Amino acid sequence: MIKVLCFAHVAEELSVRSYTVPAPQTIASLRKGLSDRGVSGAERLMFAVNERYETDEYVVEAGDTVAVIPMVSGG
Amino acid sequence: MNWYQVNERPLEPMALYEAVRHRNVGAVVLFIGTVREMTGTKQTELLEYESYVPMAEKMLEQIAKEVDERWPGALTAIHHRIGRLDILEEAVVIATSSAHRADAYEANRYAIERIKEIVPIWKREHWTDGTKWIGDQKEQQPGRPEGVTLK
Repeated sequence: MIKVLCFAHVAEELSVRSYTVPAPQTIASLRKGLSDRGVSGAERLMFAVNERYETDEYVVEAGDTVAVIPMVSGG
Repeated sequence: MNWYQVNERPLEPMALYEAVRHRNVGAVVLFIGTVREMTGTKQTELLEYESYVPMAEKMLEQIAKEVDERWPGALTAIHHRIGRLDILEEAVVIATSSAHRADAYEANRYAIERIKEIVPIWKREHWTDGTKWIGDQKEQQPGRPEGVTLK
């Protein structure tokens, strides 16, 4: 399984802070899953696998933790 | 003191100043980002920050490494506060030091711009007429954090 962490507007729209999905999956497929579940602006989300940014073609394996990262706004 | 820290405690800017000082430093720049009340006609009541803390702290450390690559010898310490912040409270402190002032100024500006690109921290505005998660302060391209080195 892959653990997916959600933050900010994504966590609010899904009403969850985390969920699990079967492995393996590409980030593109995780992105589509979020879009299908009604997350707004899914095409603009960034993703980190085990705390490192990765892009759509990256394959996430069992045991990995994926963070769904909306556009950041620190500072 | 941890040089790269994200948590809910009030910030102590002078602690970062002390951290980056040493005998061969001739310039320290201290940037403090504070909570502003008025943005045009919009009135902020408070700000709420959320973070993916372990990754955010790693990214702050990465920014310090990038600074050292661009301005060799420059030191950077960064603390960002999260949780609910009132008007006038400090949200972020960046201390940069170098032998001469130009490097410390430039390094400090670089660090705050990079925070707005790659550090997983999100701000929620609580205005007098509603709330909103803020994103896209730099109008980046979709799906790819600007300037992030991807292997």
